Parts: sequence; structure tokens; C-alpha cells
Amino acid sequence: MSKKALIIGPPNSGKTALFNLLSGSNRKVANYHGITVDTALAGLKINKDKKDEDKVIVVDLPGIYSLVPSSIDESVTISTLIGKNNQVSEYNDIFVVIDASRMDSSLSLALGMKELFDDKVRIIFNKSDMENAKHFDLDGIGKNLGVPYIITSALKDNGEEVQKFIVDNTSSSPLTPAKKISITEKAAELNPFNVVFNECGAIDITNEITSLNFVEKYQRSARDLKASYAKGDKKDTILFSNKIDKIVLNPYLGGLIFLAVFYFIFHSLYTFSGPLMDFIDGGVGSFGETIGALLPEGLLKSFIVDGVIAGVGGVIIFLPQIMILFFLLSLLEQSGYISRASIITDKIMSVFGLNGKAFLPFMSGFACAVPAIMATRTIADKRERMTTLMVLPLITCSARLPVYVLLIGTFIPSTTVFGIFNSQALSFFFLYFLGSITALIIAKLFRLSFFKGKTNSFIIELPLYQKPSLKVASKSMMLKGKVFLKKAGTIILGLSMVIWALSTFPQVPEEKLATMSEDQQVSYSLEYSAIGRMGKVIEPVIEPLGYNWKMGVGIIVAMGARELFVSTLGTIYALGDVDEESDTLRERMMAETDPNTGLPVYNIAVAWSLLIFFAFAMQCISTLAIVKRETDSWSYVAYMFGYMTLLAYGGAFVTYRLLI
Amino acid sequence: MTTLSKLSKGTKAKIHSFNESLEAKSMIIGLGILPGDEVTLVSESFLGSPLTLRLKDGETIAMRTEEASNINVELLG
Repeated sequence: MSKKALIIGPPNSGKTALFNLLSGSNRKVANYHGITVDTALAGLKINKDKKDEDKVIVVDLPGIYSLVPSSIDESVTISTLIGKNNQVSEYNDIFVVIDASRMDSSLSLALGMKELFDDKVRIIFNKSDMENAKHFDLDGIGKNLGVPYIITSALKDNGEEVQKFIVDNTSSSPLTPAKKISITEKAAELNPFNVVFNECGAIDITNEITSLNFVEKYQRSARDLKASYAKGDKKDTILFSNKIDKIVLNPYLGGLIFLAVFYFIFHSLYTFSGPLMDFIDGGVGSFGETIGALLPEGLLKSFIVDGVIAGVGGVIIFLPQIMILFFLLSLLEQSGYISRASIITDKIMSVFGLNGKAFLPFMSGFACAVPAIMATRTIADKRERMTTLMVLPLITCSARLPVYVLLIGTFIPSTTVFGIFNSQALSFFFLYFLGSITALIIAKLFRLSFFKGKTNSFIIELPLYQKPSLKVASKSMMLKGKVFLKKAGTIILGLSMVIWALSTFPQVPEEKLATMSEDQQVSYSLEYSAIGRMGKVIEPVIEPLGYNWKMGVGIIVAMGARELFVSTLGTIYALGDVDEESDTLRERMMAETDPNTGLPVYNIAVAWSLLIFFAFAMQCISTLAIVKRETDSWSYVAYMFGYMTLLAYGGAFVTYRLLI
Repeated sequence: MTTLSKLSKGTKAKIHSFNESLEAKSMIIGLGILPGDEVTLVSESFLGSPLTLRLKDGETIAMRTEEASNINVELLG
């Protein structure tokens, strides 16, 4: 069996950067956006040529401030130390990361860990390249601690020496704490693995004074140690960061900067991706044509061109937007601005009964609700956490983007409003705003009813500003792009095939088609198919919202994942395309007319009704699954699905009635 | 003696004690705010937003007024 090395350190000490540097591509869990909330395991890069028993697995755990946890994610780490983490029930050595640019919190943790494990820990000094790390004799501190240590910088080094250090210092026998960990009763309530703390033998539940005395004791000795190895003039320490903070944290300027930063992100998302999207769109169109010309007329051609290419192609054009979003988020997160943003938004959050720490999950929610829901673990209070978790899926996630782009780009005319704004960009902004404000209002309602309670504490440490690394941002961008393409190549590809089959079979008997025009043949075949029949069944339910059965089918399929709406319509309309004039889904949608009235099926009212429906509806199996996992209850899943469906149906109904 | 929440921008103060009702004491101590420490107020709470503190070595920490009002300090001017 391979050996396991735990990486322990305070939040923001660069553990995850280190972990990414050390691990090959075989990492199991992806934590998002600068925050580790779950256990992540990965083999070292140099494991490749080694025998199984010599392989070392590194384990990244949530950051802790002390051995007394103050939130659930910290408790994951403490539970791991006492061998109660399901994923890591045994480990061989511990590597404590000391953030050399912020000695206070990290050195005291190292001292506490050293005593807990009877000197059997190893030290990694990280961020040694930072200006204020040069004020300490790190070698001196390392020697004084008397345990194996290494000095590095996860952002500058290539990681080879650290890997060697970890391999050389990971023993083959398991390690367990030599003493009991003393925690408070309140801390013992944070219990992610349902451990019976007072019976497990490794934990002492004591009063606050006793356990906090330990924390304070290590702080004091860390200071003494730090003072004896300080060198040089410390005047310039952190000066630069403080200067920026003067502007960024200014009540007036700070708010403006905040708005500007986030407007820039949305703006880039919309403008930079345009040419790339058109390029991919055109590529998909001509690819379909080329392949179509090579294949003989018949079912196979229809399957490839209308099923696979139209379905998958409809979704992959959103790749540029996904990549730009994650690239910019990574830059922002690395720079240290995110913590400042949470200070600026804390006031607004508190009005709605939420914690400033809810800001980070909200931010992640713009990408995807799944990591966002996991990130709520940093919120200490259970009711605040549940409230945040319940409203997160209302935030406009990147899976809604394809639907929004399709509908807005096709049906909202691009005009200039109020002199400077573009009507399409404004519609986007409105939908993003609508999602966020609704999430906050619903949160307030929850806080006044189901999750009543006082608003809890918010304390946050502001990391120093750092020049973001383009390399790290590109890596994050490529990773997210790969995940997206993988989804397009697996789930969406598979479902596109299923949708094609369901909308092609059963086939209409030849003799029935004989009397029809080509136009009628195509639409009758679709209605005759399995999917057409399904759509017809639900048509009465969605009719009040202005939808026809084709959109109904799209919505049903989108219950699995929102992007599937686009790929489903892609396939249905490709099959229904008679004149072969229009190559893209957009053109096909605009050309569709109601056979009874002869009017276009899509109009502004229908488009907005659909947009509002997608803004509010709970259409994501992965989110429901993660809610079940995080809350350990099906009723939360049911509540979430219920209130969001009501909101979506009601909202779409009102919108349609107002606009028609 | 006053509380941290009542300081104005730029003033220095010495931490005296924490009130019983202060939550997340372990985090505050873990972050390195201990009785006897000197802190500087970087920015005041604005309409109830969090206030920002600078610790002895220049590290910056923000907290809500609620927490700050449970930390007793001596003014240093």
C-alpha cells in the first residue's frame, strides 16, 4: 500500500498551490476558488517509476487556525488527525505549512502540531519569496524547531526538491497523535463525520478557558521564537498592501472599485468571447455540411448530422465563455482581492441575514452551484449555512449561460439604450442581477422563518496583495475547459443520441406521408415520434407560459442539466429543418411558425418567459445530489426543488402575461 | 477603557480582554489577537460594515462591529 502524507496549515498559507505543484494529473477532488473545503488526495508526480509501497499520496485538507475548530471545514481537518476521516483513515506523516509572510498564525499552529505529535512532524516554509518573509531567519527557526524542514515557494519553485523532501521524510509506519486534542463543547458540535468525540479517546472536550489557553500558549511561544529570529529593518513590511487597502477599503471608492471589477468580468465574458463563439459556431455548421455531403441520404446521415453534430455543437460554442470566466476568477482570487470584496459586501449580506463569508460561495455560484454549495462549509453557523446553501442555485451559473446567449442573441434586438448601453448586454446584466437579488430576498425570507436566528460573527484575515500568476490562471482555465468538453463529449453526446432516437422513432408509416407536403411530413413525423408524444402530454401545463411542445421537451430534458435545453432544441430543429437554408439553431428557431396561425412561434414574450423560467428553475441533478450530501436529508432537496419550481412557473407566467 | 468598536480611524489601542459573549474566540486567538497586543484601526465601520484592524506586524484583519464591541481595549492615542 502507498504511504499518505497530510498537508496541514492555516487558510491562505498556499497549501493548495503546493498540492497542485506536487500532484500529477491524478487528483481526485477538485476544490474551487482558493478555498479547500474537502479532503483532496493525489499521488506525487515522481511516483510513476516507484513500487506501490514506496508511492506517496499527498492529502490536502482545509486550513485551520488552531486545533479548536470554528467551522465545519476546520473540523474535517481535526477529524482527519484523529483518524476519523472516511477518505483518509490512516496516514504516515504530517507536513505543516508555515506561511513565511504571515508567521503569527502559522508558526503557532506548527508549535501546537509539534507538541501534539511528539516532534514527529515536518515543516514546509512556503511563500519564502515574498518581501516580508525576508525579515526572518527561516533556517534559524527551522533548526530551533528541531524537526526536518524545507524552505520553498509554491509559486516560484518547480516542486522537485519538495517532492524529494516529502518522499525522504515519509515513514512507512502509521502516525497517530501522542496526546489528546482539547476542544470546546461548541467546537465538538461541528462534526462532519459524526464522530462520538468523547468516546473516541483522542479528543478531550473541555471548557472554553482550558482549550483556548492551549491556543494562546502556542501563540505566545511562536512570538518569542519569531522575535529571536527577526532580522533587518521591518519598516517596509506590508506597506505596499496597506497602501492599496487604503483605497480599496475606502467606503466610497471601495464600492466603486468593486462594481467596476465585476462589471469588467461580465463585459469581458460577453465581448471577448463573441468572435471565438462565432468561429466555433461557423466551424460546427460547415463541419455538419461537409460530413452531410459525404454520407448517403438516410437514417445514418440524420443520426450523425442532426443528432450528434447539431446536439453537441450547440453546446460546445460556449467553451470560450467558460474559459474566460474561470481565467478571470483565478486572477482575481490569486490577487487577494476576493477577501476585500467580501468585506465590502458583508454589509449587504448582513441586511439579508447572511454572513460576509457567504460572499465566496455566492461568487463561486456564478460558475457552478456545486462547488459553491461545498464552499458554504466555511460558514460556522448552521442556520446561516443552510440559508446560503438553499438559495445558491438561484445565482446565475455558467450552465444557464448557453440558454441566455441563445435566447437573448436570437430574440432581443441589439439596440442602444440610454445612449451607452447595449440592449443585449443589459438583458444579461438584468438576468444576473435578478438571480442575485432573488437569492438574497429568499435568503431573508428563510432567515425570518425556517432558519430564524441572529446574524453571526464575521472575522476575516486579509492576505497580502500578490501579483497573480498567468500560468496558474491558464491552468485553471484549461482544467475547467477540459471538464466542460468532457461533459459535452459524454453526457451531452449520449443524451443527444437518445433525443435523436426519441424524436425519430417510431416512424410514420409511408402511406400516411404520401399525401402530405414536405413541410407537413417533417412536422408530422416529429409529433408522431416518442418525444413528440411526450411533449404533447405536457403541453397543457406549459401552454399558459407561452411554450409549445418542442420547448416543453427542451425543458424536460434540461431538468438533468440546463445546457441540454440547447442541445435538445439543436437536435429537434435540425430534424425539423426542411429548407436546408439555415445552418444554425438560431436561424431555425427564428424561422419556426405556428402551423395554425402562421405567426412566428418565438416572440419577445415567449423569449422572456423562457429566460425567467431558466433563471429560477431548479434544473440540475448534480446540485440536488450535492444538497443531499451536504445536508444529509431529502427534505432539503424537496424544499429546494419545490420553491424554485414555484418561482419559475409563477415568474414565467406573469412575464408572459405582461408582455403578450 | 472602551471597546474596539468605538475607536476612530487611525487610533491605536491595546487589547485588554474579551467579553464572555464573544463568539469565535478560538479563531481570534488563532489569528494572533491576544490580550496585551497593540492594534491600529485602519478603517472604521461604515454604516455597520466590518471594521479593519492592523495587528502588530502589519497583518490586516476585518470583523463585524458586533465582535469588536465585545473586545475591550485601552486607548493609546
